[in-house]
Amino acid sequence: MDVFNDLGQGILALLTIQNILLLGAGVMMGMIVGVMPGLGPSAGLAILLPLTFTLDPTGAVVMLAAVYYGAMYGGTITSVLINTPGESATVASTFDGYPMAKQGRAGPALVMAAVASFVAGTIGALLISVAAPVTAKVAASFGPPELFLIVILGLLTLIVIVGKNRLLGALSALIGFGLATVGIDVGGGAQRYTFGSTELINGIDFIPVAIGLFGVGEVLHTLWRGGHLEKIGYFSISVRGRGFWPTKEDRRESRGPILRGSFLGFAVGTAPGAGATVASLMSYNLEKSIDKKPERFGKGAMAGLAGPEAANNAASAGAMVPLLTLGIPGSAATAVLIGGFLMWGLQPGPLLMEQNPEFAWGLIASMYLGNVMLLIINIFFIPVFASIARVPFRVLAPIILMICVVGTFTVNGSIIEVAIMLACGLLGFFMRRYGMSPAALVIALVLGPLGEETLRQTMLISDGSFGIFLERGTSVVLIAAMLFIVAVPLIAPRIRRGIQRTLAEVARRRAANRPGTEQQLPAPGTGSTVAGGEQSPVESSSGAPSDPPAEGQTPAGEPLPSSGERR
Amino acid sequence: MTSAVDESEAAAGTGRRLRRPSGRAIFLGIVLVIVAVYTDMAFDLEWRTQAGRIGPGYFPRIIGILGLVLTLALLVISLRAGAVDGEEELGDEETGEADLGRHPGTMLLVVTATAVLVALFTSLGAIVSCAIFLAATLFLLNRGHRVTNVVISLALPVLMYLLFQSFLNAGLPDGLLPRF
Repeated sequence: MDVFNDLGQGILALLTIQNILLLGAGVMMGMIVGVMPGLGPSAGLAILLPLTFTLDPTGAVVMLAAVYYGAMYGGTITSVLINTPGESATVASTFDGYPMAKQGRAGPALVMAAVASFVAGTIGALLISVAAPVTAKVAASFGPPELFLIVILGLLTLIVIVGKNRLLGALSALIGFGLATVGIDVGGGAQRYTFGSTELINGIDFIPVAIGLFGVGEVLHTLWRGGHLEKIGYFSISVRGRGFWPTKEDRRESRGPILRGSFLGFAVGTAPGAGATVASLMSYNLEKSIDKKPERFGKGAMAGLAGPEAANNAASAGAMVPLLTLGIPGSAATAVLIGGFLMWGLQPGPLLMEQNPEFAWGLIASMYLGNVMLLIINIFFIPVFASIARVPFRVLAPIILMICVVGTFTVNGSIIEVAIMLACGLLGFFMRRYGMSPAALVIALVLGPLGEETLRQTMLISDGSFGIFLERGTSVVLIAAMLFIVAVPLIAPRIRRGIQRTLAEVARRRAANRPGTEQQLPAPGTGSTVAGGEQSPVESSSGAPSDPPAEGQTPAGEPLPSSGERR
Repeated sequence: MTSAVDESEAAAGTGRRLRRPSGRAIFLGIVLVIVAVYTDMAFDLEWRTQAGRIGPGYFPRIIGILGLVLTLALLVISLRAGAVDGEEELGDEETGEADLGRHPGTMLLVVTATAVLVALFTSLGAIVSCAIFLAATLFLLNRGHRVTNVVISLALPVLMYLLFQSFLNAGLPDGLLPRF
């Protein structure tokens, strides 16, 4: 029960007027950035990071956590109202959220999504409290070889599971590692790739890179594809309007999906690199597979929105476990978060909870309080945020670019860093355009120094032999995990087919209890269609099991309307 | 480009068809040059120090060599006939609808305006340079809304300055205007 005492003390320590105001401001600003087209949590955190520089470390961490959650939820609003996910983690929310809005049920959809986020965030905070100390204890026994392998494993997971083109993902990570080598060599003090510039001696700061890749890069990409010509349509929403609040049926229907999504999302989120996108899509598939009326999915089923929303938020909490205990960011947003912590002299890793418990528990507590604030602000300010989603991109684009320039300048007062930010913006545009992964680049940039240091220490221990990785039990386990991750693309279809068959069987049994529905459901194993002839998200058009719906696709495999198609 | 043509000719003899370089191939070609320069510089750094420890070139050489191998492999794949370009692989959601088209000119103008903003930021000051930037880009993108554009161009830089400089004391350049 010590952990809950620690959590309770962490929450009490944060309950000051200043921290509560910072929480509120963080959630508000995170949501404002989150609802802007094309800007996800990573861009939001990167752009808003400079705002925390004048705060004390606790206040800064509280605000960052609030921005993180706010931005995560901001994407849901655009998913539901204009069918445009702010980032990939909220793609699953469009499947049923947007049809609900079309039916005039945008209010219940957004309120239940907020409740799902709150419940999942709360469960996530409690699960972190249990999982983080245990993981930290295990990680404390790790030596440099294991930490090096963890760095590689995290990146590998990101590249294999999330990336569309794995080779391009790996190249993105290598570019990040390469950028991380700029500056003074930590081992011997030699200058590397500084070209005589004093500005580069301390290396390339990750903030200009993150703001450039995620902020400017996204804006340029949207401009290139004509986002400034779009005509936005939307569904108006009012707290006073009839039908704003979820019905009793909505609440009853959401209970199971929210709980299942919370635990599933947390578990998936703890795997470095897997993240919220995978969690939300898995939750959607799970809910659709076990629902008594799967034919409603894609047409406005509350379970199809509540489950993925919960999973998405719980995964954000789960990602905190490897971040706090191993120092490994599991996603682009947590990579920006870790960069912010490093700026405050806080080095996440196995010793953090031992040496800096007030920070670690303060962060976990602030995530919990951030959820409470998110729920309050969400429900009463949904119409306000919905109105921000209506501001056309042609007006937002110059404003975002200006914020990026000013925000980067305020970090160190360096115009060189602003130029680096702009260059990274162009790089980010081309990376997006040609299928590379800006997230892998930023994570590698943040992890590069840790990777190099641990590799150096490993080579010192082993006298330059790579055989050390095969001599230590934990290292061998980690290498086996890496081999498994690499083999995932080969074995995933078989595993998915097995899971699909099991879930279809469960659904069939449940449906069999309802008279007159059995004939509508697929037989186990065939699984290519669900009732109504709609294609299951986990099945390809050939009927063979395939990946979950790709980013930007509906459950039926159709492309999502882009921003240009908003009506 | 020349190398791509050479590769094309060489491959013709072996029966494997290469195609005209796509956008992705050109991009990867540029990345290849940068990675090659990086690797070359890595080989100028010590692999091991005189004391026998790992030198500053150890990690960069590993990165450089892996980067070269990967980029070359990707380049060859992207030059093969039938290989997808970035656009095709990303799908409609990522690349936009056909009716909105591609707008490299607009994007280039905005990039140029941002570069000018960066160049003038310290000399003109945060408020003036941002106001000029906003006015230029808004009148380019948001045509026909003059009043909105003027109001945003004047109000936002001042609000931004008040937030960062007056409220957060972040140290923005004053330039032509006095500090307040």
